[in-house]
Amino acid sequence: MNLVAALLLALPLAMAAVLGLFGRRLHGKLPGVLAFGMAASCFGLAVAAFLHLRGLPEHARFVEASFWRWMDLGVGDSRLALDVGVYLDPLSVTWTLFITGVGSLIFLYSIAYMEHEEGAWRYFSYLCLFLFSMLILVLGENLVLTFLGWEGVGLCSYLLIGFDYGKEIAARAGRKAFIVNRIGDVGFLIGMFWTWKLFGTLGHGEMKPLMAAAATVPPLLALGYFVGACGKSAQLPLFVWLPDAMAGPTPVSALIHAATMVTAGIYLVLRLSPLFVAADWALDVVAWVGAATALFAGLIALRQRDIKRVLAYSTVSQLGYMFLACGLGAFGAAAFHVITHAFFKALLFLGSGAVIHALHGEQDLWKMGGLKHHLPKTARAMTVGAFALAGIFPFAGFFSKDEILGVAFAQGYAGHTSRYVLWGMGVLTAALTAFYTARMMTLCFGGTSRVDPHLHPHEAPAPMAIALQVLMVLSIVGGVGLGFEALHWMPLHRWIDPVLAAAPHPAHLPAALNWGLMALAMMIAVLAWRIGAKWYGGDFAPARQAELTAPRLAKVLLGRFYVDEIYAALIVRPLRFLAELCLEFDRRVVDGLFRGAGQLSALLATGVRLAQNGVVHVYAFWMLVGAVILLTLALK
Amino acid sequence: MVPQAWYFLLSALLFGLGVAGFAARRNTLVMFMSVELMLNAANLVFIAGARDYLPARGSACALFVIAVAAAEVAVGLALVLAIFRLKKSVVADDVRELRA
Amino acid sequence: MLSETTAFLIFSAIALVGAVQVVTRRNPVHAALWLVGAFLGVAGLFLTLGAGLLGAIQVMVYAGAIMVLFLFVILLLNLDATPYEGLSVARGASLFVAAATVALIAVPFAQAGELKAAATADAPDLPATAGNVANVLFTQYALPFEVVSLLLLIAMVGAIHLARRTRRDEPV
Repeated sequence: MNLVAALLLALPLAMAAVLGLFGRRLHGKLPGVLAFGMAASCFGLAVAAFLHLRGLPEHARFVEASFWRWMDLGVGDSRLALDVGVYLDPLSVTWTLFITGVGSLIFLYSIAYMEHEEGAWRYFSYLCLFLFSMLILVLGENLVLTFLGWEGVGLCSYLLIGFDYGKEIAARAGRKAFIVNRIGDVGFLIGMFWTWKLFGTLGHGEMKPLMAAAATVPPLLALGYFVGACGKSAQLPLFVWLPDAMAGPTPVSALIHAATMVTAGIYLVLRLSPLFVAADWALDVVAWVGAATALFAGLIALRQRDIKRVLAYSTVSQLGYMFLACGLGAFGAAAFHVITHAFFKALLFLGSGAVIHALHGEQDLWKMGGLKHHLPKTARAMTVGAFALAGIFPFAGFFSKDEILGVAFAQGYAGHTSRYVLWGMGVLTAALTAFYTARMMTLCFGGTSRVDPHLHPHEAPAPMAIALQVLMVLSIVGGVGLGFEALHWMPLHRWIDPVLAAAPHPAHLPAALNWGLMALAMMIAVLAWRIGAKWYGGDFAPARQAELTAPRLAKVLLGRFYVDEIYAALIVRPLRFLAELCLEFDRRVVDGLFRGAGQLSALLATGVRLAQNGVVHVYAFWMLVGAVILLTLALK
Repeated sequence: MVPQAWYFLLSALLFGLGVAGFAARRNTLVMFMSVELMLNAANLVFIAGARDYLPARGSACALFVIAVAAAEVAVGLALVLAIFRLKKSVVADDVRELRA
Repeated sequence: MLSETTAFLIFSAIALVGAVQVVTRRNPVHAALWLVGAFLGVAGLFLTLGAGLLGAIQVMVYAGAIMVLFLFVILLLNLDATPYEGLSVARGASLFVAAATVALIAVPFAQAGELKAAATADAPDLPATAGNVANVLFTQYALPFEVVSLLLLIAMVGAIHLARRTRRDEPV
């Protein structure tokens, strides 16, 4: 198992190095094929790890493998000894499985997508490095390794968003993602320091019993991690980088900014779930932030014109659902939604990539339409993804989303009245989701064509189509296959729940109520979908007119609640002012000080230089004077 | 016996003359001669000081001084020759290449 | 036989007069010849101090070899008497410093009086005959002796290199 774990980390790193160093000399599809081969092998290794773990008894389902001692600092109570190693348990293996699985498909897709791009080797090298970082994040034996991966995926995200660095907007978006994530990282670091002070260790395996035994921990400690998770998983108020991150290539959006990296925040919360449970009101914060983000991002998504931005905001919204689940203590449900979301959101992004590919880079929904005739396969695949996102039975998203809403309602039913509000927000978000998904699908594929007549859209090449088909199947069966709460069919929960903390407020609904809620959610989703499809399905002109001449709220939605502008006014501009102040200070005072010092010493040097007149006698004279002085002193 | 102090006084005078010659004269050859005078004065102190108790070792040390002086003169005069070839002069003030 | 005091007075007078002349003669040839006188005076003082060997070496090495070297160089360069160099402020200062040096060296020596053997724990030396000096040189001072021989070799090599005429130099 050690070898499997080591290979799981070594392969992507080695491939990243090979492609980074020699990729320039590899031509055509070779870098992509190599990278895909690596990713597929990683998936194979992940499956091997999964089978191994499944063979173990439930209470001993973990493998700890240390490769070497990384650092050993301090002594006694303040000792911090960290190994480089992996910690395999159902949680990390589940993540590894879908990272490498969905990752492989996206690698495959990328082969065709990047075929005509300049510097595809660079792209694949970054992608391999990303896979490595993500696996370190998930598999790392201790929190410091997790943080290493955390930063690594951030770096790769930055590099891949800015892949087209010649474009100002891409470079800017890369910087924005990087900087916003730094804020979250501070929280992570504080949490890490605090944890170490509290437990004296950062190893996942060692922390597990300690966290379980801890009756209470400071809520702020857990919130430190939550701030980190907010940064990485694009929650309020740190979500602003994710929509801009869509400047990167579309497969990157699918892999990093939808399926894997953004779920790292959820992973962190799940990994530390006992800590959150013990941290008093910290979980409530998580739940409310998650619900608010879900609703907020869902609202913004209503009026976006860029197809990728719609998907980006829907990602933010779905991540909000996951945090809502975490906040309710339904950690397993969060993991469930992470997985189904990885399937259908990767599918939607890859599908939108195929559309963009077919339209030679066009991303504006208003310039699409009627594409189902040109791209029937893509349309079919994306429709499945859209149903899954909208939460329509029996597609994947329905089961996971419904489970989360069910937990919220159950807790309300059990007496926590405020949970009804969370449930309401969730249901409203679900309606919005169905609506904007229908709007996107209809604008893109339905109605009459508004495509530039010079373009002749064509279906995506084979590797892209294969990836789409596989993800389509997963989006259909991924939900029901992994769990259907109402029927008590929950293989994923049985697998993953033992390593997660138990819910602080367990609650169960009567079966009838449960079915009723499910039917209600289903009805709402279908209804919202129907409305969206109807509004945008007919003649396009009135719909566009409605969006353009909308009243105040719609304008705010189109302006994305002006969050970026608020940030600019509250943070960016004052900082810039401060920076300019510092610059002036530096120029006038600091530089002046140094330049003055230089000038002073030059002046002194001129004086001293005069003494060096080259006349031997003068040197001799002064030497004698020195001798006389020394003699005088010696005689004292 | 002549008191050693007399010898020391004489040595100091010779040394002073050497210093004066070195500091005041511009002719490099004469400056070298002045240095020889100073070395001789030092030797005189060696021999006079060692007269009563360490005559043999005093002489040995003075011998070393003479050897060092010989080496110094050889190199010094070679330098004078080299400088003369370059500058057509043995006057120290004409060589000012060290001027900053 | 001269009394020691008389000998000291005569030889020290010779040395001093020679030294003064060395410093004051304008013609370097004259200065060199007076230097011979000063060296001979010092050699005489060595004799009166009972260091006959050193007196002999002084005469041979200094008054002989080194002086010949000086004269050779002077003749080689075909130097005339340098013009009178004047008495500048700088020179006055040099002379003052020289006088100060003399005073500073002389005063402590005068105060010290007779030097005792306190400085050494060894037994007193035998008289400075050639044999005894050689004995010291080749036993106790063997290492400095070898170092000095190396120094002379290096000085020789250096002198030859410096004085050698290269193609770029113009003929003297």
